[in-house]
Parts: sequence; C-alpha cells; structure tokens
Amino acid sequence: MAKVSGLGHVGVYVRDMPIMLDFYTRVLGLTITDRSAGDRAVFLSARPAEEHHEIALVQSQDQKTACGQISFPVRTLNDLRVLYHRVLDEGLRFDRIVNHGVAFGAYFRDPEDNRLEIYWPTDLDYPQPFGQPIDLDASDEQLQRVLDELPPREGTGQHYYGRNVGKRITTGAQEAAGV
Amino acid sequence: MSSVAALGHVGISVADMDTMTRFYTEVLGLTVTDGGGPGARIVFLSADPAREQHEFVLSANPELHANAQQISFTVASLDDLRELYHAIKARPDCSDMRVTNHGIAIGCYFLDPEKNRIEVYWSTGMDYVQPAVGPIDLDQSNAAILAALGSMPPRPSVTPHLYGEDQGKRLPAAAGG
Repeated sequence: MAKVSGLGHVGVYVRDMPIMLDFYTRVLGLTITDRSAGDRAVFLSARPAEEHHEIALVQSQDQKTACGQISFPVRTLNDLRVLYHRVLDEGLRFDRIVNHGVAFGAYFRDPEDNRLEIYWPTDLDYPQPFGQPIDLDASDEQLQRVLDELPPREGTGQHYYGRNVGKRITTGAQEAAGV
Repeated sequence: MSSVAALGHVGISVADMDTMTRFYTEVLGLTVTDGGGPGARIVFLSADPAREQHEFVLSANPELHANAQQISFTVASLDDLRELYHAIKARPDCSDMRVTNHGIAIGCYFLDPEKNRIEVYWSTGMDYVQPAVGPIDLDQSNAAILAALGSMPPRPSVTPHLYGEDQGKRLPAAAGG
C-alpha cells in the first residue's frame, strides 16, 4: 500500500521576512536554496543536497502560523549546547529544556513567537510523552548519567524506536496483541 | 559551525483526535509510535519509526486551531503519489485537492479532515528554480509525466545552491544583472 515516506517540509507564515530570514540562516544555520521575487516566499534547507527545502517562509500580513512545535535535530550534544547559547544571545527565551529520554530538547520562540525545538536524539528508546528538566550547562558526563539512570518505563504503544528497547517494558496489552 | 541538521518533526493541535489519528494512519500510512488509544491527549507518529521516533505530533486542543502554511510529506515513488492522490480524493472528509508540478517535485495539496493544508509530494530528482508552479495530470502514464518534466525549459537562478542531479535545469544569473 502506498504511504508517505517521511516529513519533508513545513511552511511558516511570516510578517517580517528580513528578521525571520536572518534568524533561520544565521542562528539556526539553514541554507537559502531559492527565493521568489520580492522574497514573498523563501525556501530553506539544512540538507540542500538531499531536500530542496525543509522550511518555506511565506509572507503574509493576515495569516499567523499556529504550530504546536517545529522541531529540528542537531548532530551532537555539543551542537545543542552551542545553539542553545546562540539563541540565548539573540535575546530569545527558552520555555523548557528537558530530557525526553529519546532526545534532549530545548524549546523556545522564534522572533515571531513560533514555538521551535532544537533536539539531540540520544538513540535511547523511551516511551513518550516524557519530560524531565535538565541543565544543558552540565558536563557531557553528567548529562550522560541522567540518561543512564532513567528507569525502564511501561509503553502503551506497540512500536519500538531506537536500539535500547530494554528501556521500554512490554505491556500485557502488547503481549495480548501478539507483539 | 553548529547548525540544525534537518527538520525533525512538526506538532499540530487537533479537535477530534480519533478522526485525525485514523486519517494519518489509515490514509497516509504513518505509524503511531507512542500515545494513542482511547482518550489520548497526544499521539506521536512516524513514517519510518526505526529512523525517527516521531515526525508528526497530534495534540488534543479543541480551542487552538493549527495553522501551518503547509505541512508536506514525501512519498517514495510516482506510483505511490498516484495511489495516495486517488485515496485522498475519494475521502469525503478531505477537500480542495490540487496537483502541481514544481519541477523538483510533483505535489498533491489538499485540506485534511480539520482543514490543515497538507501536501504529499514525489521528488523528481531534478533541479529546478523555485517557486515553480504548473499543472500536471497524474492519470497520465509515468512515461508521459517524465517526458513532461524533461521538456521543462532551464530557468535562471539567483541562488548559488543546487539541488538534485539535473543541474542543467538551473542557469546561473548574470553577475551584477
């Protein structure tokens, strides 16, 4: 059966294109791959060779984007820390910085109040939702210990993610379903 | 320099969790990786759970209507795009289906059961300057569609970045105009 193969891009309405473009390119590090006349729409990608655009910024004075969150992975824990400080230096505020088990996520608002997350996938399997405050200025060793000390947790879903499936206890419901 | 590595996931609020979860799993084929079940307030979905724990999050909140300009999902083949196009078009709870040839991709845009603007698209592997919007008939043969893509004229570009394999479809603009 045909199905979608992944999330490709999301479009965001913007009021002030120069401010938003500066933020998404200079602070988050996305690349502009194309732009329309007068920058009515600007296409951005973190992986231009693989995906033409992952974010489309589209000018609109009467539409306001309402996404619960738009979330970007980073490659390393150190990248997360560096980006966290870069966002703080822009004068933007973080709503939450949490250990999800599957990822460390830092949630903040972009210059037009869209809720963004930058996250480092830990490669650990852990049932969601889960969130525990962490301090990104702790050392890598301290943060690794936070992950190591996570207790196994019951999952209600039948599907597994990641390598460390020992962190997800099989529930009776799953056994009954023959999973 | 540190930068984000990709787009990972998008979350939207929904009014009717059951209807929306069923649409995204049964029609688009996403997998519920966590949450879900009766009375769920939050549902995590992924097209490829082994790669990404979730790519799409549905969060119950009848008071906050989501409003993304668009949320776009890839498909693996032109055949998959055509099959999804017909499956979505046949749904009474989806509307405003529009098929667009972007050169770099052929996209089917529609409104989901809660009127979110969703796109499913097949990447053609061709480089083509955006924005480009043209009509195309998905009920043609694959050969006819590929021929239509092949006959698109090269376009001048103002950006130095190239996408896809067919770089001849993008002409560098003359420096300084």
